[in-house]
Amino acid sequence: MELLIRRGEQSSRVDVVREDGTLRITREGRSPVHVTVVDQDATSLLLDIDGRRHRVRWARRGDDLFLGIGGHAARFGRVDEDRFDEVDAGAGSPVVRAPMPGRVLEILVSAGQEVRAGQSVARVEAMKMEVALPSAIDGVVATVHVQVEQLVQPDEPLVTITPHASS
Amino acid sequence: MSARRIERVLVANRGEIAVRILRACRQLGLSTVAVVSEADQRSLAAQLADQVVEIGPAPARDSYLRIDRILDAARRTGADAIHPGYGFLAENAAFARACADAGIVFVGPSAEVIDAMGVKTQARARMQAAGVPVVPGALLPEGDEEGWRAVAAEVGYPLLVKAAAGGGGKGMRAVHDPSDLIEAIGAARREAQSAFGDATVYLERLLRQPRHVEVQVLGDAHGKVLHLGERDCSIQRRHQKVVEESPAPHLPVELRRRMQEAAVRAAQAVGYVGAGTVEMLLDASGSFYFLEMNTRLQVEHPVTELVTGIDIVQAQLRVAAGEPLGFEQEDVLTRGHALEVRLYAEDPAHGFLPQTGTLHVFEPPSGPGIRVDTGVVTGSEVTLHYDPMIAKICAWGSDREQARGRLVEALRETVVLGPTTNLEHLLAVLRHPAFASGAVHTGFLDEHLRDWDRQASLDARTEDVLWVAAAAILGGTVGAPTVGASNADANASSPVWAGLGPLRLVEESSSARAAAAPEER
Repeated sequence: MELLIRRGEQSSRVDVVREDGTLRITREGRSPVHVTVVDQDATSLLLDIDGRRHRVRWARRGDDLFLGIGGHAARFGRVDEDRFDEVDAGAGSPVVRAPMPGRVLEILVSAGQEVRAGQSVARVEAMKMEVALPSAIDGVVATVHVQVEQLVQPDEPLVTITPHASS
Repeated sequence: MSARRIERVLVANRGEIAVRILRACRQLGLSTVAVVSEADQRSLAAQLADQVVEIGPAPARDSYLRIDRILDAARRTGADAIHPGYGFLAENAAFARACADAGIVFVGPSAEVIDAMGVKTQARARMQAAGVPVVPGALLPEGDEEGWRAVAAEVGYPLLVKAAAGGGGKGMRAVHDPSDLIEAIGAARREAQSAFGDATVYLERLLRQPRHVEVQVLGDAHGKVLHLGERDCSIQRRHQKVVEESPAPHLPVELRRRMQEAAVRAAQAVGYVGAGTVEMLLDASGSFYFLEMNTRLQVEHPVTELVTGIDIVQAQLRVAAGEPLGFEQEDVLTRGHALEVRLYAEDPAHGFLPQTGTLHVFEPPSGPGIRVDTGVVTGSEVTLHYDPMIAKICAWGSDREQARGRLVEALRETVVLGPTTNLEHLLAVLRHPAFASGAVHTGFLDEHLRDWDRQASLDARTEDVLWVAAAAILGGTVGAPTVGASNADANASSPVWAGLGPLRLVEESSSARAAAAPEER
């Protein structure tokens, strides 16, 4: 089965095939890896990956999968194919999202306006700290999804930009 | 002050420090009361206290800063002492005064001492009078820019414009070039007015790459003042401490002694009673200067407790009850080395912005020499209403290198699934060769970790393991068989005592209800 998995702001296609008791997992651009789930309980997995064992902590909540190993933690999830064209690992997303829960302070662009990669499109505030959010791409503002004073959640879309054909 | 028997202590704080204080009270056989906001009703602190009083909605200004509701809770529960912890009302002279007026023991120094040390310009003046060196600086004269320029020239560049009523690194502006002076003063005054309600600022020389070294002091009501050694808190990000340790590394014996003695002189100069900290800046030449005195328990007190074996919170309670300190300076011995890091729900990849969310899995480390102070457990919520600290993780070792190795391993074993944390950043600091050699100073993070990249800290193998695990789970081959499965129920495991709840719930008083009435908002 082929999955589209997101991790933070990136996405990758991953192929998962069951092969006599192990899983063959191929992440795009990489060689296949063989993994067996040796043991699992509510918060940890013991995996054998190509002969080496690794204990991974996990917690699944709705669409989110939290994983931890050796002091590192990451959040994964399956991406709905309908949203795939938003997320293109490496090229930059056309959707500027809120990075944290907070309040919209200012919208700096309007629909139809040309923007360049790196240009600030909105300012958001939380706990007395302010951040200016830039567009990741060159393009034209398609939609502004929020208004000033609106409270936003992490990942909530703020501004969508239509990329120029060349970007 | 005559001895005053304390039997019931109200803890006017939350989170890890409330848990710390409640534990110390219970260890001494004292009865306890926790005051909680609506958001903290099921907190760890609420579960440890004998009685819990809800004092208002989540925002601190509606609950933990409500002097009236806290005193009301103390009266109704019969508490005879209030411990304010740190932050909130801990250094609020009006609160200390209100406790005294109500006949309730405030665990801390008197309102007069809080005031004396709280206004930074006054504190500097008192220290100078007591023969404690202060950072070269001056009050800003009222009115004219000419006068300001002259004062600044005397203080010397580079300098800091600081809020007189401030502290904790807030309301400050650095000025490297005289042409930026006037604008910086204007900006600092506006910030000071908005943050502290007082626009008064003063100028202070900005020392180059100084170390932040502070001395823990303890005074009783019978005139004895002792020190419990020093701490080095040089590793800071925007004046917020990231790593703290005791003793301060590479301090010549004679310099250490002079700093400790200066701190005791400073505390004696104001007749200090209770636990306090004298913060100093140490520059590369070996000169040290008084920075400020914190008239409360500090966040980083555990490292001092670990190397001295002295329970500072218990000492605070005994002193507050009028007991004399039962030991002398020569009885205070330090052994080994202790390091502490603060684990926060914050995202180092996005300006260390605070994160919120549920701690789906939180497992603090353990083992020889490991101490964890926390107020949360698996399932707790981290919100924007309060400081997003998850835990203070400390390691003690017979020497600094053993402590450092233990702390690194402890962090590697720490599991936080849910909000992003600064854990990897902390590991990067502890593992840095400059940190390992003890070359600490307040510019450490700028010098060594400015370009630190979280992604780069993840080796390729760990990255692969995470992706493989994600694929195995999301591919539906691991975990509960139903679509969209979550292991929510299994992850909701709570510690055994979670089901007990508080033993006696005191109903919200009618005066608190009236104060919360909508028409008053």
